[in-house]
Amino acid sequence: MAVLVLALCCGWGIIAVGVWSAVGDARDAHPVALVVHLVTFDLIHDLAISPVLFLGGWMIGKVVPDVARGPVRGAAAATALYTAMAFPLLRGWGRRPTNSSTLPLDYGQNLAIVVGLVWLLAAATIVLRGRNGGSR
Amino acid sequence: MESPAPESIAAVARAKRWREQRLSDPRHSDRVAAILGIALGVSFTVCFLTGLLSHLIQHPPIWFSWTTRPAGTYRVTQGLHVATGIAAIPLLFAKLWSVFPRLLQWPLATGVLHAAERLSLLPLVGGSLFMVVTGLANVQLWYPWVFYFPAGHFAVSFVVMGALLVHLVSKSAISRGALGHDGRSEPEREVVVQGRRRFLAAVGAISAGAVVTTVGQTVFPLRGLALLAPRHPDIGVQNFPVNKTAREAGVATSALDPSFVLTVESDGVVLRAFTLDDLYAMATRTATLPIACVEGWSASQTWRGPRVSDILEEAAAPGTRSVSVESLQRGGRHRRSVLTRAQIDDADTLLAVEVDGEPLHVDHGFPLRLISPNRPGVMQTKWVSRLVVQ
Repeated sequence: MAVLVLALCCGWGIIAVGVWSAVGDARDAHPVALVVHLVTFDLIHDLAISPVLFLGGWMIGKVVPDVARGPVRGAAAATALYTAMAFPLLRGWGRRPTNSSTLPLDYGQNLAIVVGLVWLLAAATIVLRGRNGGSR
Repeated sequence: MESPAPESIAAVARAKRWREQRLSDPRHSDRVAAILGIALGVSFTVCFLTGLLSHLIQHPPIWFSWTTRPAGTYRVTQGLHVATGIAAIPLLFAKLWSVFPRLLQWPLATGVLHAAERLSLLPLVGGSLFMVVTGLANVQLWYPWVFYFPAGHFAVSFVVMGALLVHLVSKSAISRGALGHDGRSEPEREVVVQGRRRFLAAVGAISAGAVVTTVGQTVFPLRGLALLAPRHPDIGVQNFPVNKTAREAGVATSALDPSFVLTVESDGVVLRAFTLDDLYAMATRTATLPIACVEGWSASQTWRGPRVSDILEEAAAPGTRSVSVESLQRGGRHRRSVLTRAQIDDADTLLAVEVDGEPLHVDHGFPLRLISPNRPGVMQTKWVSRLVVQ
């Protein structure tokens, strides 16, 4: 109990350091905007992303055979995550026309390669599981 | 008092049933939560410490002193900072998915301490998502927000680490119990173990994939795999990346002024002025050093130019405590940087006039670029026009 109380005090103290840093540097840190961002990310995750992930997993469970269910869910999750992470690259939002070294690659092609490899790995896993008589 | 509507009672009952079903799935077990929590704790801690180091190097308090050697240390720590941040993204989403059914708990808290612990989940979850999303956007050069990224990222990092401490300690008993469990005593338990291991293996593989497809922007041998890296160490003017071009810095004309001179000053007095011909004649030192950007990319080049210490000696200011290196750039947060005595004395601290055997391109800092071992790229001042001794 004493350890928990101490940890709570230390933890909330470190949180206070962060808040003090933001408030003390308000012109740059915009503390109100930071709080809005934190709450928004919480809400988007809990109310949108999580339900979509559970729904997607449930739908895969309904249509995909048992032996393939795990690999398909994994590949689908990887595809969704890599696509989300690469989305600003695909859109070129950070690219500067006067600077050829900013986002210099063909990200559409590269993402397709990465996602292709993910599904190839998933297919290989399914084949191996089928041969070994594995389940999900 | 009115009774709750039958629909509400049915909805709560459905939510409870859903929660119980999910918690019986090995992917939502305490053991999976504990293992993912440890992985996240390690990656966040490494990320925090390397980020704090970068902050201290750029904004040194009076008690902090940074070394010039080994010359590649900052390249490693900042590369590690970005790599662990990227690795944390799949781990974080997997952890949040795994523990999500536990969010549906009634009552929300069973006491004051429990409430304080549950309340800390708000800054932990929101802050963690903030850090990885804004960190990723920063390395991708995308800034869809009003705050100055370093200031916001720095402040929220403490919020997350504080919340993480609360979370780790409050879950320690559950985690110890879950990690100490053997789980192989009955045939059906084997299915549970297998399901858990396959889930964790998949999460690990996705995390590793995210790192492998980006880390080549700093780990040179892996550059061929860096399919989703925002920078490539081989691509840019003179075959390495540029952060700010001369045009963006507003020095495209002044940097090419044929009457350019470098001045060494003290207390507003010009001690000595050097023309480019003077500096080329003094450019006897060659050093192979990286530009290590705070965004996690790095590239090594061979630089040639006069030593800063030789310039100061020629200007009759050899014993200076420190020197402010200032750019032609009029505005901007990084138009000047300070060299300490140790950095001045390092034989590889140069004002470069050439890179890889070619005259320095204006986007890489022509006429003069500061290059000094083991410093962040933003402190390797470009378009140097003044040295102010202190």
